[in-house]
Amino acid sequence: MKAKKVKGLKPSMPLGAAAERIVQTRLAEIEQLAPAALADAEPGDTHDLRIAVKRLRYVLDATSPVLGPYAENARKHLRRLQDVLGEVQDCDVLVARAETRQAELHAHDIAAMIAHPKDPAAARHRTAYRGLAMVSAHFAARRAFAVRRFRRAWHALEREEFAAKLRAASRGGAGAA
Amino acid sequence: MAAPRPVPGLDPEEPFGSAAARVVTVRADELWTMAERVRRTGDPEAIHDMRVASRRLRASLEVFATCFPGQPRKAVLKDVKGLADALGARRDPDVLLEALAPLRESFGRQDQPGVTALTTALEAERDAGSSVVEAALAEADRTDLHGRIEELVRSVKG
Repeated sequence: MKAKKVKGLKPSMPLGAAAERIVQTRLAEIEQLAPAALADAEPGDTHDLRIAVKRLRYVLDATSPVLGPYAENARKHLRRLQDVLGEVQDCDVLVARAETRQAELHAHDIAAMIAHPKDPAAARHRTAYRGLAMVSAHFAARRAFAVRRFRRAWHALEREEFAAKLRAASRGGAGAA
Repeated sequence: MAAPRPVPGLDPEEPFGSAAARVVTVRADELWTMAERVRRTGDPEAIHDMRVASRRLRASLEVFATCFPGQPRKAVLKDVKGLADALGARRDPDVLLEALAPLRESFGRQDQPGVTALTTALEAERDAGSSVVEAALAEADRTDLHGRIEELVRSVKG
């Protein structure tokens, strides 16, 4: 997902004013992407949100010294959100990898059984199917737990009024830690 | 991975361009420090740290994009991204292998061939990833990425 362009940035403008514009734009991206990720947690939606969270965190890495004190808290909150979304992503990758590997081995076995129609033992990968299906199931289940943690983490941020506090901090000084 | 190295003395009133030069300099220094560790040890943690450093540098080149001349910045950004991708080719299989490791204990004997089928493929990718990193570091040397980043910092606008 391509980052939204931040309008009105100029090299000569004060760093604080530039940081405010960037933080507001990146925060708005997260707010735009979060509802889809929270609702169905489809892999594409959680992935896009993870990237948006990472972008805002990197902005805060570079600019938090010139923002209000809450920016440092925000950086830590975003790190935790990024970690749990990263776990969702790793599970998605492992489910896909297990299924792809199973399909590859299945195809090898079909080819071997065509070449040796009277020898079922030619399907030499058959013992791996069950374990690969288990790997896929295991990480699908872990993903469900990770999604639950992601939702809890997000709702905790909402209760804390994370967005409002970070917006205030991005204006410099305001936004209590 | 350690927290990002602080950029001393950033001031909200200083020009965005001057902050850009200082932030990118610190992030590039971090990257080259990590690169040295990767060359020296090839250690998986060094690979991870260098990847994080490459992402931070990439992010600062994006955050401060408007402060640098377009074409040289785009070329540097593309090469930093290439370096990050190469490090990912080495690091990503490690992350997946770490996640699979507990299944050696928790899954039954009948399921182990499936776990092995996946880990063997990932180990092959990880081994190939080491060559990808070596090639990317050699390419960064050949194209003087270090020098081009320094030049980019000197050409900052504002």
